[in-house]
Amino acid sequence: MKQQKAIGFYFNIIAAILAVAALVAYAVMAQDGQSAPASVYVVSLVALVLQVVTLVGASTKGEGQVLDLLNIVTAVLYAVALVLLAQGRMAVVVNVFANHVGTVGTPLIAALGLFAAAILVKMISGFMAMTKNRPETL
Amino acid sequence: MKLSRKSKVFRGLTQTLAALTALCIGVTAIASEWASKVNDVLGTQSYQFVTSEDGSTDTTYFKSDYSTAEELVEAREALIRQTVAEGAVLLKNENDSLPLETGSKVTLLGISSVHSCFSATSGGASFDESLATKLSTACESVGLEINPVMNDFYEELGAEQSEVGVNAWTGEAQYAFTWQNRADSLAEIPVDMYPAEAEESYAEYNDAAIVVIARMTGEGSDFSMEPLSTENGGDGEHNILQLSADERAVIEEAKANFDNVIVFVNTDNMVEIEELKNDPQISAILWCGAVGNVGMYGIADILCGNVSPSGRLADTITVSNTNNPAAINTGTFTFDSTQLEGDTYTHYVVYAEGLYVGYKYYETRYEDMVLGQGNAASATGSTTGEAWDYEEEVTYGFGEGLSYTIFETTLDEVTMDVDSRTGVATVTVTNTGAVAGKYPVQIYAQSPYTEYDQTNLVEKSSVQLLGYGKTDTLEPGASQTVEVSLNLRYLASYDYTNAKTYILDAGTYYIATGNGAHEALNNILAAKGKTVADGMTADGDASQAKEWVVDALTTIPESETGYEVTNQLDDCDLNYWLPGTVTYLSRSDWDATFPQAYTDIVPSDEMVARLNTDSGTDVSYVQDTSITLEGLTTEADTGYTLMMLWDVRDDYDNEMWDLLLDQMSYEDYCYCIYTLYPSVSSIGMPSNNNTDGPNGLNAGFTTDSTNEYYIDAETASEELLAYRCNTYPSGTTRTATYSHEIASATGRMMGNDGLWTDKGGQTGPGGNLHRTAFGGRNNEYCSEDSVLTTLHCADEIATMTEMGLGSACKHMAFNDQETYRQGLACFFNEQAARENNLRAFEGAYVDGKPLYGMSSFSRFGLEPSSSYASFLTTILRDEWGWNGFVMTDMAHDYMPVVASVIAGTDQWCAFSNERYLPYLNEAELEANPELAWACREAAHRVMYMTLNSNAVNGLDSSMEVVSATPWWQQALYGVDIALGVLAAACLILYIRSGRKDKKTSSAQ
Repeated sequence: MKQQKAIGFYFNIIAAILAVAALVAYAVMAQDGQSAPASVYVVSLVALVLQVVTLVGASTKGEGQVLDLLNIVTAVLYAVALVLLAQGRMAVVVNVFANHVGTVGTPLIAALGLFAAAILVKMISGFMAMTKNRPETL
Repeated sequence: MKLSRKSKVFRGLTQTLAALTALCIGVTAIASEWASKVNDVLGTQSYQFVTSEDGSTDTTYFKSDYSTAEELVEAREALIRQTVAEGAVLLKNENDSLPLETGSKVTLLGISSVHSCFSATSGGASFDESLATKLSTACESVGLEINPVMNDFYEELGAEQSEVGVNAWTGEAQYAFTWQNRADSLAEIPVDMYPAEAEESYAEYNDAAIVVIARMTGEGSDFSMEPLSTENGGDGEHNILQLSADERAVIEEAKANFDNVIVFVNTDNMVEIEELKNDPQISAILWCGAVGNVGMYGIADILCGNVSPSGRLADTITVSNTNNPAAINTGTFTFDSTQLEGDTYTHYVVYAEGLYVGYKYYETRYEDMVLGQGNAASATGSTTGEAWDYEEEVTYGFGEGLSYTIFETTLDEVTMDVDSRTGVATVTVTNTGAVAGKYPVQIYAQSPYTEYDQTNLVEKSSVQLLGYGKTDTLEPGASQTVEVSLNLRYLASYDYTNAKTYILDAGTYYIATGNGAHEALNNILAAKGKTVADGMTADGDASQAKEWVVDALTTIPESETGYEVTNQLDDCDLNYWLPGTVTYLSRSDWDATFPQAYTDIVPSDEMVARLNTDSGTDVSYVQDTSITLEGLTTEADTGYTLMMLWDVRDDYDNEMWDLLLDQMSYEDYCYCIYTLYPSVSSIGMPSNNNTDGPNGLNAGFTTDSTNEYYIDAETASEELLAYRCNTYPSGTTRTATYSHEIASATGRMMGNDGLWTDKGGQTGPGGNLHRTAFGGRNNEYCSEDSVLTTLHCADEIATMTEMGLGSACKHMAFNDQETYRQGLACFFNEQAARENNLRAFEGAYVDGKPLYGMSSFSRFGLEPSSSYASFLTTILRDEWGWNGFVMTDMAHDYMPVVASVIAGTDQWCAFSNERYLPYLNEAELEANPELAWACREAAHRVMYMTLNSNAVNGLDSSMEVVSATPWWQQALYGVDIALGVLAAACLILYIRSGRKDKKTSSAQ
């Protein structure tokens, strides 16, 4: 049965879009030899899959504690992805500072900023309902 | 079912706190990985010392010469003032227009009178211009009266700032002074903007006009040889090292209003000033490189006559910087290959000028022109397009400089001894003028250019600096005899085609003195019977040149360590890979061999494979499988600590080092390599906290009261708390003093700085060459000449080492340009390398004995410097007998990890170990015994450096190093735990609340 969506649903979509934008921005803008570690993409992919599952689940069956727990895991995975991205490129950051080539850091800053925004939106969404009705099963 | 408000809050809190926990754990992990850097910033440490002694032992092994930081500051600023006073070079002084009388009324002109060249604009020197003493202040302090109208005008406009870009990190707009010369632009204030009352003020302050011309750049920013656009302050015709239209206008303004026009050229990158030399309305020209924080007092001392100038040029000032043969192959050259990608793989330069860098080119071609040989008079390479003429090419020669007094010199005696490889030149200097002053005695040599040389492509500079020594201050009428030590190491030529080692040719050598290379050469030519009638620029004095005859060609096949010296750098010659590609400049035929630009080189497949190095790849490295782990002991319980080796600290080969190394684990070895400032608890080794140089430690005084020397954060003045030690004059200025005493005093002062800043090392001085005037880091390096560079660096380093300050004379080697320096493939022949670029480091390492060194971003041929064993092991360690550790320049992806460690790289200049862990760990060492032994040797070198540095102050032989968790790490752990607990609690509360909601809903 199709559920009526609430504001939390859209916040989750925005969070997912921001996370995807972070990955795409970095992949497109980063210079040769400065790609993000593979673990960032793996963790992000898992987070996005879970996000899709929660969105689909919420819109078809309505939200419940299982989906809430998945949302919590998704938020954690976004945070892990951000940390992995920052950790994996810290040496580049040092090189950038040491060599005074500020433009090299722009893609990283953009990606980290977008990820941070995704996490913030995701955190806020936790306080909001995704659907107007809440079945007792999920 | 409806979720209660309470459940929503708990769910939101759980989600928020769980994400924050993950973030904080991540931050903790990153901060822990970068602990050394965090500790450095916060002044904390991840270890502490535990001793069983009662504290009665004096453990201050390296002692400061000063009991307070105030005393140190006073002494170092006096030294800086003296260095500039002795390093500034008076180039022109018509009608004794300098010095100025006390009370003279002077007008300073040019924006650079305010924004002068105090220091480099980047690199190790994060210099705060606002803390530097300006020329006007310095002049007033010595009794000169400065035109306030013009000074205020420049101060006011000089303070204006405009937006120059956006900070990539913060997104905030960045501002810089609107009217200040930069690496890519000039900003002289147009004369038509001068205040209306300017002319009236000229009339009042009319004793002299001092026009200041400055150029500043730094790391990462070579000056461009291309014409400077009008948007950047140029005229679209002249490059940045030529006078701009606005600067010319200022000079014309000065000429129109003053009888006494003095030009102060303040730069480490020589500006073309031929027009000023020839202009009769320019009374005097004074040159000085970057002056440091208080160096303007030294300039003022010269202007007012407190000090007679005694500096001499460390570089040739040419009529055209772009006409220098080295400039033809400087800048951007890109391989023509689709198989190479990325800036660190695709760029190269060819040192086609061979031996003939700087004066070696100009003076050698000059001699050949006088002698009528080698097509020297050809128009090829001529600035005018006519027959080559020395006076049309050189404005001021290497080693030139004037004084306020007159010195007469007599070359009394020269003794040379091949067996001991030493010599002595004795020169008597008499001050026959009217004022007191110092005189720098310069000794030059000429080695015969023989048929053997021509056959075997051995090049010879017609004149070569061999040594120098400065007199004390000589009063009028006083004399002093100066003995200048000579080292035959610097006279021998490297024959890379036949003997494949150093040679001394058979024939007549000349040892001469003179006020610069040109005068010394003229003295040699006079000894050969030549006069102005033969085309000489001036008659020489034959008595100032002595002959020394070598009967037969002599090879010098062993270094001073007894190690066989033979070709090591064959694969650095592009002709090795692409035969017949490069023609090196040769005095056998200046016309036919004058360099062409080697553009669009197409690399062979083998070259591409060699170039494509990365952290885990280097096709040139093949593991030596004959090496086993037999005899390599680790984690033995020998009970030794580093301090127990104090008495044998100088003895690198002492077997006690092995006892320490046996006690370490593989992880300890690796840790020493991939960690900056490592401390190893198993042997009680403290961290050596080095920092960037090279014009002084990039650090302030420590406030850590556990250090023997510190300032009290509570009671110290704001000036002292803000004081930085990177405020020495540039390498060029220091070198231009031609003073062993000043160099030694500078090294000792830097050693004192190290004690008061709690730093055990600095990466400096700079030993690369001023290959051209355009080099971004010429301010960090010393000279165009390898011998002047190496002698100066050796003096500075020796006293730094005495004081327990490690000094990494950098960057070994070929970091002579900043353009695409990372991964830049440098091609050269072995003679040029050994007599120019490597000789510049040789004396510094052999005689100065620095505790560590830094390799360069460049490649030796195709191989990154960090993994080029022929230099790092064979030449540096085996031939030169040096024992310190080699650090990379800032670590980069193209530097192969394993190959570099095996080649002789001992430490990575990187603040994170994530790149190295996959290659440097216990499993990798067990799988590659060659790597295991190399890592052990690297740890040995790091320990050797640490034990000989001031890092051991405060330690005793019972001292143990134990791990400690600094406060910031404890705080992070605390936050992690708190957030985790809160998240878990909220999750439980949410689940319980949800169940309650469910029950409520069911009940309804």
